[in-house]
Formats: sequence, C-alpha cells, structure tokens
Amino acid sequence: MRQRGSTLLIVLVLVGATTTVVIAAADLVISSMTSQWRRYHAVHARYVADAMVEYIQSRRAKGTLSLPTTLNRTIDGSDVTANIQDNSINLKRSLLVEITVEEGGLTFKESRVVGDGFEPKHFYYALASDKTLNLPNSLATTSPGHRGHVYVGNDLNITSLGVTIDGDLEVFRNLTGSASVAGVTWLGVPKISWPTPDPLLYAAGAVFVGSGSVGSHTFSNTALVYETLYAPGDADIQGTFGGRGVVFVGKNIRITGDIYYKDDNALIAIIARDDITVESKVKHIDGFLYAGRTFTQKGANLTVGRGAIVAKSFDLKGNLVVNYDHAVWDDPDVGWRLKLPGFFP
Amino acid sequence: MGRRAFTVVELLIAVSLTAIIAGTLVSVYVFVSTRAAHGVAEQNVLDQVRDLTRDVSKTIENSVRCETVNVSGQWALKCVMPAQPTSTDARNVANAFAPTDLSARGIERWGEGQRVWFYQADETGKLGRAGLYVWRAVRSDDAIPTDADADRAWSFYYGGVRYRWSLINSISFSVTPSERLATVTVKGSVLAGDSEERGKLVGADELDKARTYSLTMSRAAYWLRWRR
Repeated sequence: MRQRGSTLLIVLVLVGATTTVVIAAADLVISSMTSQWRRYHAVHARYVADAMVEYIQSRRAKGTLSLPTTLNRTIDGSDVTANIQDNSINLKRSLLVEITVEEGGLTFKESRVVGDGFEPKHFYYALASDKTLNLPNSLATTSPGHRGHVYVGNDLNITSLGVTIDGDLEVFRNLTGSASVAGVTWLGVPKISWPTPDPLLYAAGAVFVGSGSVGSHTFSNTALVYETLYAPGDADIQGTFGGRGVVFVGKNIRITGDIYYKDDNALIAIIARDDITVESKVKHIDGFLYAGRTFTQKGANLTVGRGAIVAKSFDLKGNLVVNYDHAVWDDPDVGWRLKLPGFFP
Repeated sequence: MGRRAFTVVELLIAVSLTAIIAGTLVSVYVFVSTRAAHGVAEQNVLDQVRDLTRDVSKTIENSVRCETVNVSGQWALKCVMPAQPTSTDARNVANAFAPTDLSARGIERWGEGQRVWFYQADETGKLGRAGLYVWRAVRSDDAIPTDADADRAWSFYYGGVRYRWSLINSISFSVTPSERLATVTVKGSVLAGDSEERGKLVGADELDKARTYSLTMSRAAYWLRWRR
C-alpha cells in the first residue's frame, strides 16, 4: 500500500507540474492575443470615430442637424453613439463631440473638439484670388491668432522675397517661389466657387447715389439690417465711414483717397461688379473689398487696416499689407448683413 | 510464518524503478523550467519592444510635426506637441489635446506646445553622450534638451534605479516630412535566463542551454495634428 501511495504521489506531482506549465503557456498566448485584439479594435474604433465626425460635419454643413443632439449609427459593423453640442463658448464655430464606439464586446469612448462643418468662403481669407496671382512685390498678411490666410484659385507665382503670410497659404494649382508662412502651405486645395453678385438684390431697399462719387458717410444700421448705398454705374470712393453698411457699384470703383473707419464698431463692404482701381496716392483702406474682375493697386505701398480683399484677379504694382478682420469668420451672419458675395443672398 | 525479507532481485528492481522515475522527473523539471525561462524571456523582450514602440508612435500620432536631430553624432527624434493638452496619462504625459483654433475651412489648428524628444544616451540622460539607455526629454522651447530635461520617471521605474528598457539594444528614427510620416525602429534582445538584469552573465554550466532572443519592431506613424 505504501509503495502504491508513493507512486500515486509521484504521478500527481508530474500531472500538477505539467498542468502548471500548460496553463502558464496558455495564459501567455491568451494574454498576447487579447492585447492584439484590443489594439486592433482600438485602431478600428478610431477610424470609425473619424467617419462619425465627418458625417456630423457634413450634416451641419447641409444644415440638417440641430444642436444639441445625439446620433446613433452603425459604421463598418460598429455601433456608434455621438453626443454633439455647440462648443462656440470655448472655440468659435466648433463642436464638442463625445463618441462611444461598441465593437468586439469592447467599448471605446472619445471626446473631440472639431470644426462645426462649413463651406469655405473667399472672405474667410485676408486675400483671395480666383485666378492666377502674381506677386512681384511684397505682401504681408496679419491677424490675431494667425488668421491672415491667403487663397489662390489657380497658380501662385512669387518673385518677391518679401511675402509673409500670418496664416495658411492655400493654392489650387502650382506654387512657384517661396513665402514665409506661419500656418500651413496647402497645394491642390479644393477650389471655392466664385460668387457673382446680383445687382437687383442689392438695389432692393438701397439708397441710390447715382454714378459719381461716394464720400465720408455714417451708415444707419440696426443690429440686423445694414444700410446699402447703390451706384448703378461707376463710382469714386474715399473718406471716413461710420456705422455698418454696404457700398455696391454696378460697374467699376476707383478709390481716389484713403478710406478709414470712423471707430472700432464700423464695418463696410465695398463691392464692385467689375474692377476696383486704387490710385497711387492711396495709402490706407479699411473695409471688405470685392472686385468681380480685377483689383488694381497703382501705388507703391498700400495697407488694408482692417478688412480683406477678394478679387477675380489682381494687378499689384506695389507693396501690400492686409490686416484681416475675422468678424465675418467669427459670425457669418455679419457677412450676410454686409451683403458680401458668397454670403448674400 | 515469519516475515520474509526482500530478495536481491526485488531490491534491484525497486532501485532501478526509483532511479528511472527520479531521472524522468529531473529531466522533465529541467526541460520545463528551461522552456518556461525561455518563454518568459521571449515575452519580456516582446513587452519592452512593443511598449517602447507604442510610446513613441503614440507621441508621433499626437504631434504637430516631428524631425530627426543630430547632436554630437547621436540621433534623436523631436516631436512638437499641440499647445493645448486636455488630459494626461499615468506618467503625467499629455495624451489628449484640444484645438486652439480652426482654419478657414473649419479644420482644427493645434498650435505648438511642448517638444518631446526620444534618444539614446548614457545613464546621465544627456543628449549627445553615447550610451544604451533610452530616454525621453520634454522642453517647452526648441533648445537641445539637457540632462535636467530627461524624464527619469519614464526611463526608470518610479524614477528609481531599476531601468525600464533593460532589454532594448537600439532605437532609431526616420522622418518623411512631405508625407508627415515618422518611423521608429526598436531592437531588443535577451539571453534566456537573463531576462531581468542588463549585463548579468549566465554561468558556464548554463551557457549550453542559453539562447539569445532578438526582436526588431518598426512602426510608421503619421502626425495627425499637423495644422499648427
């Protein structure tokens, strides 16, 4: 009996040792596989979250998603829930999206601040040209927060050594030459549709000034409606402007003297269906300028104190400084009230 | 009837069986313990290589941009992180960020915050001194990190004396700025039975059983928050 007991003990020890080794090996393998499994799903969940954010932004761009809201979707086999709320109080025109992705029996949660999906517009840039832009002289854009962006809807040819952009440089086609860019240089950017203003819409409710000249003026405006001065033919403009309003000219604008804002509250849009020509003696312009054809700068030095320039094409014969006014970017409704092409109607 | 003693034959059989069983047990024990040690060693080198690769590639993914920098012949990876961190991991390293602004097209812009460096140096952590220790250093400007900037809590457990990357032989980097892509390659190895301590030699009688396990892992990561 004692011998059988000893044998049994030995067998039990052997079985125990073997079992321990097998369990340890299995544990290692399972641990490794679990880690790989989690890694795979974590990566996949991230892509699913990206897709959900793009879906939310496209819905916002189309105006089919009100805030705050919760969306549930199945993306690539994963169940996704997103709680979406306006985050403008922290970052203008942004959303706070809290995403939960359920997949493979695992739950992934992520919180993101993303752009409140919107289409780009020319007046979101300090300087925007629809056609090829040649820069033989210096150009400098500035704006608080590096928002002095430049957009070119064709080629950008820089032959000057003094091009400084305090923001992003976006070019639809090719860039030749170099510039100092504080933000990102983005070539091959999607083209922005060129907006053409309809005179009839500007004439409605406007104050007709006839063809001739527009001098210093204080616009009468409410918070929601800005006054419009309408000139059906050509017009010369110069002077100091107060309040908020629009100068619409059916043909060409000649800027014959400096244009200043009367105070910090002032905002004006100067819109020409055809050309804007800035005479040599002009050194300073405040306002959002739109030329349906060509913007010509004749003088050696011109500064846009607070505003932006948008034109189909540019003919710049001197140095140009544009201090971008991001009031329109911060609140697109201001762009609509200023009747800026792209925002209005 | 008196009690009969064992015969010589019975004793020999009993001794032989006991010897066979004992021999088998010892062989099984040696085999199992050796394999277990080898398995643990392999797993340890895998863990360290994978953890280091993951730490670096996550930093790359979170960054605004990365570049390689040569300091006194030693190559380092420098990544610029976003300006606005929103949470940190267990080692107090930022792992989530919020954008500082949006572009004209509504794409997030991240600004520029801390500079995170990865490199190999000696035990002082000073970049530019040749050594096998893997270091991470953090600065708030573009200057070359000093030994005071080295994150000791990342390289040593609890910032103490036990080195965390004891099985790592080398770490190297390559960067393709035009693609916003950085690749980290980590090489690790271990002599089975010597899985814990750097430089510890196995005994001469163990050498015939010893085996080196080597592992090289490369991971390419894109920096995703490139709009500064």
